[in-house]
Amino acid sequence: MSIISAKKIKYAYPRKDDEGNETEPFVALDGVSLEANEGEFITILGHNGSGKSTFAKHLNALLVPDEGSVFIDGMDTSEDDYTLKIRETAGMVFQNPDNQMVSSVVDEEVGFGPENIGVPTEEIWKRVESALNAVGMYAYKESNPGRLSGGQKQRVAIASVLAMNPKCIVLDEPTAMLDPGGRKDVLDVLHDLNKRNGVTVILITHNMEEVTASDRVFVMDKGRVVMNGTPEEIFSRVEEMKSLRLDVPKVTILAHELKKSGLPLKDGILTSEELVREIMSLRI
Amino acid sequence: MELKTENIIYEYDSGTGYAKRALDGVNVTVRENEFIGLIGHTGSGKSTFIQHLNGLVKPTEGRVLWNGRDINSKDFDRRALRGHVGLVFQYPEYQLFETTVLKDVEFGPKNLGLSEEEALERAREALAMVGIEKEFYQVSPFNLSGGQKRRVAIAGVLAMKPDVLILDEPTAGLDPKGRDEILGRIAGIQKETGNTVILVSHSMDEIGEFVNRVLVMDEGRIVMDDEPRVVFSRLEELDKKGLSAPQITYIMRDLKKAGLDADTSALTVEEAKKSILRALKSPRGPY
Repeated sequence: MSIISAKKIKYAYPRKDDEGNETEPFVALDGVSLEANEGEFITILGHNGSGKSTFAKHLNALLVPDEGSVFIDGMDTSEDDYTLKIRETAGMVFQNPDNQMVSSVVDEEVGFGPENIGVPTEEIWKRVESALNAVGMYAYKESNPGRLSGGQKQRVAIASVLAMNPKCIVLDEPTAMLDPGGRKDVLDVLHDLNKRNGVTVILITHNMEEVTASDRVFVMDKGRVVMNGTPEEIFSRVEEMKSLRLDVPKVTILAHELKKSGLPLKDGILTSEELVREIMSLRI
Repeated sequence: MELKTENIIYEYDSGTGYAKRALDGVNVTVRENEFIGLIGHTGSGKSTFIQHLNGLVKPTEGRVLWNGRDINSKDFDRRALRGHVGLVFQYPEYQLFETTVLKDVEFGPKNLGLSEEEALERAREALAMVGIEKEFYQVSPFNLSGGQKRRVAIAGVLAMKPDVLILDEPTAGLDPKGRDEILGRIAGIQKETGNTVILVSHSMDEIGEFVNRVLVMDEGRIVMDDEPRVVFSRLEELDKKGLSAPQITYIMRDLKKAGLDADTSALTVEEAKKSILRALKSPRGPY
């Protein structure tokens, strides 16, 4: 069953000129449709200003579409009665971990959400424990979030969302500010949650290497979905990706360049192992 | 030109139970015409270090020397130093504040005490360097795209004509094309002027492609200081420090392991391609 069903959504930001008069609104989403099944790992790519973040905000009713509809686990985001339930179902993690911390102790930070919706105390602590374990941060439960590294903060932010028992997590460039180690830790946690707990993951990123292990990729441009397929399918279209201000993983570019130089390699090679296998099979 | 740190130590919360050394004896000498990459995991001391280089932060111990003179001595003109050592912070577009692009870029040179005409000339030059066209001069910087804003903010520092330009993660949050544009411009400026650039980045691919010297920081110390191919050949050590190497390095290592005579010091797609084609054609290769 679809956990996310967005149908032809349109959204425009109102704009004002220097005198405060309303001018033509800025169309951020221009008919976006996306269906995600429960348990899928989906990546959304697109250049700055393509509408990715605006779309993400539609997935937990921070924004509601001007036209079209968004259903989260069968609930219409434009109906106010569902808003809180939708935010429990689809949790969000943003780019800058410092903007999302409210407490001075990690376990209180993670317990803040469940407490807010009236979960009984004993149950809160259970959830905090399992959420922190899931992201490998249990050892830091009594630490001050301000003293953690960027990657650790993002994992605490993910734990805070997990404590709400969501079916789906939406992450808007969660690794943009992290070092390579932090990036890897966050990605490992996401794939682990997806595989082991069946959590649906919607990941927005500019880092092409983070895309290769996802089930499906959506590419946005000018408020529309312009490509949609498996990472192999998307990254086979090297020139098209570049024309959209995007890129493909270095290993895919290398394979593409080698192919242009005459080596009979297949399209859409995504990992080093694949490339090595293909090159070594050229032995006569 | 020589910018040098002599055994600098910086301690937070000195004298309390929480005292922590952010810098623990850093010795670096920077000279003309270098393109330096500074890498290290979050909290390794990179940002604290670069803030010492233009006197924003004073070392607890040790000295920072500009052409042999201690920048933290009483008679040193630190305002003038900021014209020599320019620092572009992370997300510099948040610091744009003027009503037009041109005014924003002129602010730095005016602050250095230059005349209206000189400041205007400097601003025009700097904006041309980052590829911002004349038609944007009178536009509010807040009406530009993210990539354009960042380029204007960088121009604001370039307009001071620094001998050393330090950029703290200038490509964070930009799309791949935006990243290439900014780095391409910076590399072009570095070549053209022969000035020194220090690039702080978490992207090993950027570092591998652009710089000719890499500094690796860990726990407040410089633990490696060498050419990129030497630094990235120490892959296992980098891994342990929460860092990595360019993706090409990993691919070339895998190929070598599988038995191909691949050059494991290749850092870019172009170098890798040449090496693989050569290895495949050589008599000892698979063909």
